[in-house]
Amino acid sequence: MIRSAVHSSYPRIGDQPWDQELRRAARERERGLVDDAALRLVEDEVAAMMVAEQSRAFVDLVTDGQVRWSGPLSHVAARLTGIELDGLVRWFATGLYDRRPVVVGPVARDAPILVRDARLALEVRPKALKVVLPGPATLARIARDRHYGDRRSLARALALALAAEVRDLAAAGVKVFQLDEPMLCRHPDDLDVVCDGAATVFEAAGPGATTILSTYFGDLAAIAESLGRLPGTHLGLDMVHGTGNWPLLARLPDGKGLHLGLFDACTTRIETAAEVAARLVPYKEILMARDVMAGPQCGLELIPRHAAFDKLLQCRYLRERLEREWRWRS
Amino acid sequence: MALLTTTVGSFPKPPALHEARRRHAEGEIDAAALREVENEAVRRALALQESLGIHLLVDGEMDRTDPIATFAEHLAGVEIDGWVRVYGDRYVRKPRIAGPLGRTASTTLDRYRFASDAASGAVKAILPGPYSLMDGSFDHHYGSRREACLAFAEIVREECAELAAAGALDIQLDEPSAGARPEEMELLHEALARATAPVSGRARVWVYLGYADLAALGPDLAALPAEGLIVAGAHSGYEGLEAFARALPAGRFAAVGVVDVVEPRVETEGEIGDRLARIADLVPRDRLWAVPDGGLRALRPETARAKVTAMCAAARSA
Repeated sequence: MIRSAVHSSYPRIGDQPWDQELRRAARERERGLVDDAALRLVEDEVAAMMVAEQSRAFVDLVTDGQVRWSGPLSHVAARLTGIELDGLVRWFATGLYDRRPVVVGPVARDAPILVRDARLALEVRPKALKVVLPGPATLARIARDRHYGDRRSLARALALALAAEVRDLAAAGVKVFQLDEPMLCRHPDDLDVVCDGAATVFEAAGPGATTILSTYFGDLAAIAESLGRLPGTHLGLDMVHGTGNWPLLARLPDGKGLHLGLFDACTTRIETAAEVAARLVPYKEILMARDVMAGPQCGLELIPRHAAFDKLLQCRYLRERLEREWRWRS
Repeated sequence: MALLTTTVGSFPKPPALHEARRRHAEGEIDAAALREVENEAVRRALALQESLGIHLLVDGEMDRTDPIATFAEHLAGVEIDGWVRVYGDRYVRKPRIAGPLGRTASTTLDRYRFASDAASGAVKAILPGPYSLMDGSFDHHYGSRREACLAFAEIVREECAELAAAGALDIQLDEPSAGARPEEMELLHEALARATAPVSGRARVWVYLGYADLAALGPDLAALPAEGLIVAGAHSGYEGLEAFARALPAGRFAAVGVVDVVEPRVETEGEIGDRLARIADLVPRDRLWAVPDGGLRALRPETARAKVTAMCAAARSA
């Protein structure tokens, strides 16, 4: 089965003045001109529009664009007890910055974080909705730990907190979950921590859920022998910035689905569906034996909205092309 | 002995300038009218710095929407693309390299001259560095980060030469992307060396390193070719500063951030004094400058003023 899929974020503002409501509302909130409720109303409208926009590109699996998120880590981390936010930290080699989480006490999740957002996104009736969470191993790598004293214990506590969130999301009707562990590409020695954390979080999704362990900004060549240990129904691989991932396609355990990052979300150059399809030809048999989702290799908020939309269109054209030429059903 | 002070570059734009920019965008006023409002904002930013006793002044970047795009939009081969988020609700418009890069006119000289004439003290000329220009652009032409970076280095080199010829004694290159890719540290070094070669011995070169990872790359960053290196630190508790300071070659200056420019809370003079004391244990006082962590543009004007005032007071009594 082949489907097109967004990775995680989507640009929350566009180039036209009428596409910048969220930016205006955030500034007005900062200046005290509007209250939290007014900002939330705009966020909800923009999130619904982003679900609709991704659906308009006929992408099979969408997100709410993470338009309410302060950053890839801080939005969820700051809503856990025991975590505060410190100064800015660059998000890998991108131009995006986030606030670094600081762990100051026992980590726990006291209240739902993303459940309301997911319910609102489901009301827009996308074909399928995915909810993305920061991975405990990546969080533990980037956070400053002033409480646990060892990364493994911190990651375990984070995984338990995230599992509580996933349990509530599943109860709210979410069926597709993605856990982002980009740090695994940079720190393959984190394999055990990633496996433990993802297993805990994915178990909370319940039977029948689609669970994607997403890696990006590199490859997993260093753990090629251990790919079978990675939890989840699907493994997310960055085929653009992780060229060492291509040979791994032949080494995956039977039955493992793939979430392939085939379009570069860090550049505005638009790859055509034809050129991406040509790269897949040598792997046709391997891929057609699996459930595959194809899309950008990371969140699209690193590029302007017009380019993000064009990339999604090419994702859709890729899926249509593979259905037609390979007779691959979706 | 009081510590020396400067700022990273930008000051908040006054409401009148925001309004003038809006009116210019809608065709209600012409470029000359906008320039006059910008000039007035520069005069006010300079007056504020002079009143606080800041030792090395800046023009406040009143003509820049963001540092990279406002520089790059004057270049041949560049188109300005759409909005991209940097952090929180801060966005920039990133340049797109659509053809061979070339310099069509001065982009920094006029603004430097105006500020220098309007100020009673020394003014630092500021422009983006070649590596960050490359890293902050979408390349549709070169297909090689190195080629694009060195093409930008040639442009920055001409700008620097022109500034030095006009008498600029302090030139700052902004390299917030420094260290984003550790494997490209050599390229960063080479590009900076090329860009600043014409002003060697004629002007003091400063490089602003933004939120670079000092813990991982401190010694490499300390070795960059510049008389002064400017690093953030207040936001992060000075993680990695020790390794950076230890590797700083003799005779070089380190300007270290002592106020956070993301957090709106205004630090007290005592708090900043404690930070300075801690930094002075690592960097010799005669080579240490106090600065904010970054540009002040995102802060509200009264917050920026309060933060810089506290910084100057703490530096005076340090």
